Amino acid sequence: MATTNASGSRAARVVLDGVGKRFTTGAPVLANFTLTAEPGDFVSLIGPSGCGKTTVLRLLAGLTAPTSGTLAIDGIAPGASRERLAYIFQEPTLLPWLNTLKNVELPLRLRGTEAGARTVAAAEVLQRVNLGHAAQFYPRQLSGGMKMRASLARALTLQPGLLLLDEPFAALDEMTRNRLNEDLLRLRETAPFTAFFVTHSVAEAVFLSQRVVVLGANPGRIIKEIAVPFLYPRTAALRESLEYQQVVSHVTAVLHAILPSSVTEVRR
Amino acid sequence: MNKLALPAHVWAPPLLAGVVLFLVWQGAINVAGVPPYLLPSPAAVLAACWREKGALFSAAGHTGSSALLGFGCAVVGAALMALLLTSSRWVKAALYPWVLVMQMTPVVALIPIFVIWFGAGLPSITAISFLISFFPVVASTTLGLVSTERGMLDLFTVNQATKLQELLLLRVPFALPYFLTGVKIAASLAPIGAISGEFLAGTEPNTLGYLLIMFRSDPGKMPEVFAVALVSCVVGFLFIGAVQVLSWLLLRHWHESAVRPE
Repeated sequence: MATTNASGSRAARVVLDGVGKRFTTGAPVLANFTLTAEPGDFVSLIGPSGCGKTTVLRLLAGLTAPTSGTLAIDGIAPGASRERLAYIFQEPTLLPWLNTLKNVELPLRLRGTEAGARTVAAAEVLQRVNLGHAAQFYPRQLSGGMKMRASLARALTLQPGLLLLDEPFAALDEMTRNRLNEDLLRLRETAPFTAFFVTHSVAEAVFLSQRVVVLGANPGRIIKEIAVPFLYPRTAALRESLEYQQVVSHVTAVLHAILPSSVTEVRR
Repeated sequence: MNKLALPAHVWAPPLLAGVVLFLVWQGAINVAGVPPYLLPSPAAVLAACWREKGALFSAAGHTGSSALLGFGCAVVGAALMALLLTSSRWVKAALYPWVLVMQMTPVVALIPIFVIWFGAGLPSITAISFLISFFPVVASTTLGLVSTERGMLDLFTVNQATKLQELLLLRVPFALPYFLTGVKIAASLAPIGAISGEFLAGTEPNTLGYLLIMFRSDPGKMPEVFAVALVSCVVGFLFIGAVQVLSWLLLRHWHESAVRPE
């Protein structure tokens, strides 16, 4: 897959080196977390709740600071390099008083892009996520799947080099979730980005990513990294293949092997 | 225009209840023989309204203006106060408890003080309307400004929003329904404050509160007292109705409270 798109934007290289994080209470959330994502990598983080998956994303977005270790996005510390960073939250977090188009424009608006240009950009991205017809709708008029599409469109208006996704499709039914997974990969073909994807679904992680990183809890740490060998572009047909089923089984087995340790997990 | 027409199940029950209430009222006089100096008949009240229409209309105008002036200043002042309170943790910690103490003080207890300070006229009445309207708006707007959803704040941080952008594009619109809730409460209180002020200060002629004092001193003027109450009700209705319309206009696209159920 190309790592540069039409407008010359590039996918980011992400390095986490010995990152540790403690809560103010002193309880460790992450310990010695080391991971490098090359430009264009699609990395899924999966593990029991309390293993610090979301914390990894919040650290990369600069929403929280590490207690030890270093993080770098294209060589720059998080927080100082948010120009091409997009974060898709578990909730769609659309602003209810703005229509879909204005919601999708928001990242550009906050960065001072001039009104005409950002409307054009937002309308174009809405077309790409098949929401062109809903531009004037308000969030309350959208279904759960449409809201998530709008949230995805909002993230893509920036042409992000790094896309952070925190269980974005967890609240959706399986059919909708599968559709959105396929759409996400389709969008990735034309707008290259490096992705960190947090999920509880093994099937979703295997379908989307090149690398599935299994985390353990107490403290959050990398247990195992599993390479997913399938080439992109991937389509819905992949889910029917035996090889796909085998990788899913393998990841599930790894996950089950670490579950006993999660019994004593600290509630966050 | 069809969208504005109310369906029968909305207007019929209250209309029916109103007719029943009217009949019970008239029946209490005709059948049970309640004397007119305790309960005048509906017809007598309407007749009193007509007789005193000039005085009532003029008084309603004066009382309404005092209430509106106090209410308007209170809404603007309270919104600014709420912004100040939420601008810094220290300001809020220092001032908010005192705002609550002031809110818990029954405003009528302050009327004698205002009369001494500002005299018995319009400034006192306006000050009372102002005070009684101020605190509901401060309390609800402050709550709205600090209730912004965590995820939306994170969204703004990730997108490098300035503090001013966060305030204008996120915190203020998020607080708008809370603010309007406070304004609705204030709109119902402002005329009460004005009429109580006029009634207790008792010296400002040509106001609803003053008419109450005048009419109640004559046992034969019970229908006129009821007429003043009826006009006060209309003034209150206009205040709340205007705020309801404003609220609907501002929230109709996005807030559940303003969305008509299908």
